[in-house]
Amino acid sequence: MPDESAERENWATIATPGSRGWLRLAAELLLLGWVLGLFAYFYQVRGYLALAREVLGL
Amino acid sequence: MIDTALILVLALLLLLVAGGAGHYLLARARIAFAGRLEEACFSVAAGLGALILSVLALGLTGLLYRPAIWGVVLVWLLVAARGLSGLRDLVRPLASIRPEPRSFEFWLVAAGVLNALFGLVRALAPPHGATDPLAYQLALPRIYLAKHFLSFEPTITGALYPSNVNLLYVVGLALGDGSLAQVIHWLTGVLCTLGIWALGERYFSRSVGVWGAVLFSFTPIVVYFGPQGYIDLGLCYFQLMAFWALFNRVTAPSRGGLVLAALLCGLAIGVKHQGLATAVVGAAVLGGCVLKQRQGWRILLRHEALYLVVAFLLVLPWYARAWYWAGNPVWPLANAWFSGIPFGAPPTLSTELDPSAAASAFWGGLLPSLEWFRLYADAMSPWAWTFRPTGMQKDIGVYVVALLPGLLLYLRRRREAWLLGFCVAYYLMLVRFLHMNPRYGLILFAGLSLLCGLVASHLSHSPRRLVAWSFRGGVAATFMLNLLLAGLLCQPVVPVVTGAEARDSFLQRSVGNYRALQFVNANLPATAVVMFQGLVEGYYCDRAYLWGDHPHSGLIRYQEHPTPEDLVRRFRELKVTHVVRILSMPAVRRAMYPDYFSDPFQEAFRRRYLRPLYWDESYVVFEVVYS
Repeated sequence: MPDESAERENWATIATPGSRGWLRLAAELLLLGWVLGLFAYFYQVRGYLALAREVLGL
Repeated sequence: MIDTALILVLALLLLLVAGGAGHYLLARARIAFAGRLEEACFSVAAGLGALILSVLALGLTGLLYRPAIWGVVLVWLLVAARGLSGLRDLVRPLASIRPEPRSFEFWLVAAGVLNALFGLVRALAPPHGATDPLAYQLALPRIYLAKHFLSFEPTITGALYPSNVNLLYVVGLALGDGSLAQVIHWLTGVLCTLGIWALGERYFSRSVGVWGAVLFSFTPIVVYFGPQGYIDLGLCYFQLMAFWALFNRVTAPSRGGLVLAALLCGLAIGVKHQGLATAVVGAAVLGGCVLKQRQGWRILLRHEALYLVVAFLLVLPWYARAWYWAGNPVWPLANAWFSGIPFGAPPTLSTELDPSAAASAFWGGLLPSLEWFRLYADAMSPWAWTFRPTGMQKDIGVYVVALLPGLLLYLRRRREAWLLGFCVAYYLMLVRFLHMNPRYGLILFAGLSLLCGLVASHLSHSPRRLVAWSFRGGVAATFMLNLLLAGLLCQPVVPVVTGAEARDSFLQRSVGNYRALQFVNANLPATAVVMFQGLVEGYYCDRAYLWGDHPHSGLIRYQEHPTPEDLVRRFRELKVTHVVRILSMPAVRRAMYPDYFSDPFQEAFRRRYLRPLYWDESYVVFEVVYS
């Protein structure tokens, strides 16, 4: 494994003045939306939600 | 029936033997570790390796008797007793852990433990359901144990493949029954999960390790196959340990560390041929690091030679066995290269590469064409594996495609980039050489789980509470749905595991051919040779059996026997006395087998030469009438 001391910044941190930068917040919210959206889509299309409804009698 | 409690005790005994013996061996080899969890993980891997090699020695020398296997376990138990005090030191810190219910990681681990317990319940049921374990992974060890050596069963695919994990199943069958073998596979999955945790903790952070481990444990392939008698989690386990040892060796060079990495690589290759990828990637990583550190070509060659020679020495007995029986160390793969004994339809390395082809064509085929990418885009797409998997072995779950894009935001350190590079390299190998089948490359998903863990850890600890708690809420919802599925999967086996349902009754309703094979075991003479027609699951058959007309075995090709007289001559050559035949061929298998009872040729043969002895709604047992 390479030397850990040699770290680099990625595009998001370079593009923003600080960890509270608006670009970073937007990127994080975009990622969150993607993750939660895919979660919902996956459990819907793969039938988990229907299964849960059936088990819970909803 | 060996009851559930005894299986659990035996599994615990094997774990203690492996951990204690491995700890003793590693202490003798003076190999240093960064943490106690890491040391415990490597101890168990080394101990399981020692047990595998001992059983391999018994199998090659014709000593696979239950007392001999018990003897081996007891010898390693004595060795383990010398290492147990050290092992106790390793697990002592666990006692000081205080649960912190306020921490989200606590609930992650709790969900992971509950998921594992559901899996354990399924593993404790008698082997049933899936085809592969009942056809090869558990069936072959059962035959070895009955014949007392690693016999060659030429009609069974994979009869001469390296089989390290199958040897652990031999131990499971000798000490207990098929359930113990399944628990051993489940255990390798748990050890994988712990390994991912410890590896993540060492190279990234504890949070990344915990997230990676739990996400891996919820991967549907792991959930489905972990409690069954497959060997893929065993392969993943030894590959994980091999790569981990190699990473340790690269970050803190030592000859002992390199030998340990090589030994674990050898154990991984010895699980199945897909394990060869460990040596390819391992040698590349080792070489890349030696060159990067400017140590020179001589050091590079010395290290590579030591790594590869030690690794392949461990697999040599398997290759020698295959060479002895079939004239081909990797039989039936690459049969054209080695002129091995003929095999019906040898499996290929990839959908396009044919090892039976001439060498020049094979090497020319290593580089895929653009057309190849276009043709197989869907088959190799993680998106398709997530949302439209063609079968459970491609069901990778949602976390990979959902979380990996977060690396654009959070990937910062070089070692994270290295892990990503490793995963990309392994993915390319999987899609090119391992049939685009995620089940054959679970180590890829162990690596991806760590990367997902990295993203999940960042999101979960985001300074913006809205982000952190929304993400945690979403993950918690997915875990609940995953646990619901895991619970439903184990529901049918609860009665048999708790003793409320008899084993026979459970198997009669869960294994299609169980009743027919019980008839075979109870009524046919010990010298009977049974031909399977339209089925391969021989685990519950006590008589000698052949995969008759399975296209892989090629034992009988009906087009080569145009009349019933020709066919019965072939039956006589094969010394077949009885036939077990499926009654109605499922549509998916009609390309492989005839639909016997609606096929005029098969019906003519049946009327003249087969006398029914037993039938149920699924299978028929015939006696072959030669006169």
